[in-house]
Amino acid sequence: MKVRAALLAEIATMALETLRANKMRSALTIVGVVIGITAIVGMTALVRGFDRSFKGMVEVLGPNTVFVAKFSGLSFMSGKEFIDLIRRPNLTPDDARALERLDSVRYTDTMLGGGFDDSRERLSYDGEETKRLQIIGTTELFAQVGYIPIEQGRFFTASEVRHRRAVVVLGQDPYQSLFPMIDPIGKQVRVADQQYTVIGVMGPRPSPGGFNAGQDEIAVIPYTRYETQFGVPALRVSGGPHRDVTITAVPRDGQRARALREIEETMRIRHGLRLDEENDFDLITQDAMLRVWEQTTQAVFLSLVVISSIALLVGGIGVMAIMTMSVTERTNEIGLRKALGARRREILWQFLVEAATLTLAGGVLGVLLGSGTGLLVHLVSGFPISLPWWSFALGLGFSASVGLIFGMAPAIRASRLDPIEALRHE
Amino acid sequence: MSLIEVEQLKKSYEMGSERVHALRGVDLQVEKGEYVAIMGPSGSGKSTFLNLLGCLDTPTSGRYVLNDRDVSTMAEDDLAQVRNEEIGFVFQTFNLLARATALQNVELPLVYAGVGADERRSRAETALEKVDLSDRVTHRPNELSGGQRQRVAIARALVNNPSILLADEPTGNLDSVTGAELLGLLDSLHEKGHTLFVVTHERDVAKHAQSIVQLRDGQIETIERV
Ligand SMILES: Nc1ncnc2c1ncn2[C@@H]1O[C@H](COP(=O)(O)OP(=O)(O)OP(=O)(O)O)[C@@H](O)[C@H]1O
Ligand SMILES: [Mg+2]
Repeated sequence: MKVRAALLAEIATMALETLRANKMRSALTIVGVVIGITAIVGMTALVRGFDRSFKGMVEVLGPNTVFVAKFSGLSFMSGKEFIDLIRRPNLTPDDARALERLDSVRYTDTMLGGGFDDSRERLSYDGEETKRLQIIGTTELFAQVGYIPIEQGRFFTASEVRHRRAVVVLGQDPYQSLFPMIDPIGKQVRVADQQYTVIGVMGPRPSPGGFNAGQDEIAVIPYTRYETQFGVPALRVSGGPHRDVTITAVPRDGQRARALREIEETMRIRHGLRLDEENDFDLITQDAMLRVWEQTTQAVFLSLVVISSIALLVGGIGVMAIMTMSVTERTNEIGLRKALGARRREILWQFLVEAATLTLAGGVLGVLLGSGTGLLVHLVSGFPISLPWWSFALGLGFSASVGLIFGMAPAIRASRLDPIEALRHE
Repeated sequence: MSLIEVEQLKKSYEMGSERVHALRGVDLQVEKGEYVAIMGPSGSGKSTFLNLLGCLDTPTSGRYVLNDRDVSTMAEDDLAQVRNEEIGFVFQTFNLLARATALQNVELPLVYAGVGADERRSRAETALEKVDLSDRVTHRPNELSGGQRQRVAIARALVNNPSILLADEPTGNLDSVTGAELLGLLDSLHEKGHTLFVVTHERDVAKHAQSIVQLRDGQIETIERV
């Protein structure tokens, strides 16, 4: 289908003029297209933005590290009930010691507190008091395992853990509220009712979505000390106090699969599970999290596709109706153009380009609205967004295609009109 | 070879079970530069004949050779090209695009001929000059009088340098004064060598032509030299 270039330019100009002449009608027609494209571009911006920061956070965990937890986001995503999850046995530092004895595991870190429990306490220094923070007890390996940068001072040592030393490493939040001007290292702070020496400060930690999820509102102490001050969770306390214990196991090089298997076996034995019983703990790895995340984003994208398809379909039907009306109204014009030498394909293209221009205008509007919405959300809430060029191209491509596809039938009808009958029309 | 050779041209329409014979075998030869008027009672086939001459329609049977080309059996898109290159139409109701300026209306046939924008513009301006409308180039049809509109239509018909100019009752929608002006314009086109066909009901209009073809019941009754 060859159409002369001069003609195509002419056709595009004519199309724009027709649309300008029928502003109101055109605007109504493209509402569906605008909604569809806005949804595509806007949602892509938000989902992709969140996706990036989430992956950034997960990648910090390291590809081999295995987390053992009572439960986690993974169990919610696989549809388990909270009430069942909370009844699972608490993990203990003894579990960690057992896992550390495995051949395939290089070392483990035990983390007490820091999750969904009641271990929030205030820190105070020189009359200043922080809000309630998460106090977590860990081994000396916490910073290393979690790739947490130490900004000032140092993390505590194995010996300090063994001797239950009252030392604390501050997160960014308590550091900034207690020591805005002063060097914190060596200062005495009170954690709940006991005195601790500040030995280090952690740098800011990443979080999904860049939200302030309280990831910096922490203070880390040796887990042995934590046990002394806050008590050790008992095994299988059905209905008893829930304690968050997360065990981080770093496998020996190349032994990740074996470590996963052995950790699972060990935990099942320690919890006395029968063969037919499900795990009552979660094993979390980077790729498991990424896999679940991928499924979630895929579901979001799928619903996005469905929503925007419906909107585009509605828009398309509107375009078909409006173009059919336009062809009828302009029957005489079509006859005239044919009399002056317009061929079928030239009439066809005129109406196709007109339909596509109409929907493309809707697409441009949708791209602007969609990215505008994304930017607004970003400015208001700090939610990370990503505006990839391909989502614009996709939006514009889709909108133009809607015009071409739904404008096809009316355009074909126009191109087939008999010149004499068309001229005699009205 | 004449510019136009028509042999036993027939056109009939199916109307349900009936056949309407609009043309029942017309023979005619017209030389280049001739000015022909077509007359006849209503329904005698004048418009049908003119549409066939203008390649807007194909005959049921018979032969029509225009400029050495047999156009009676051509396919639709080829006919479109012949219309674009060889024919200029002037309609009773002007048939201008309401949204377009006089200049854009006149440019339209050149658009379909694939002429570039600059040449299109200058040729359209020249055509508007010929019909004495140089000062109305940017006017839209609703800003022009009836006579001016018909002159724009004539400029549009001329812009492609067609072999023949066809006008179906060109004065039908004009008052007598502007009608007379228009006929003067057609006369001058004839003097410049254009080949003209004019369908009319009015004897006074027909008298401007060199020959008057009288149609009756789909056939040529007489050909009268003026
Ligand atoms: N598309 C058509 N379908 C059926 N019959 C038609 C068609 N076009 C024309 N006719 C018939 O052909 C005959 C000739 O019609 P035509 O339009 O050529 O007449 P005319 O001489 O131009 O009349 P008028 O002076 O009223 O314009 C008429 O009987 C008309 O009814
Ligand atoms: Mg007629």
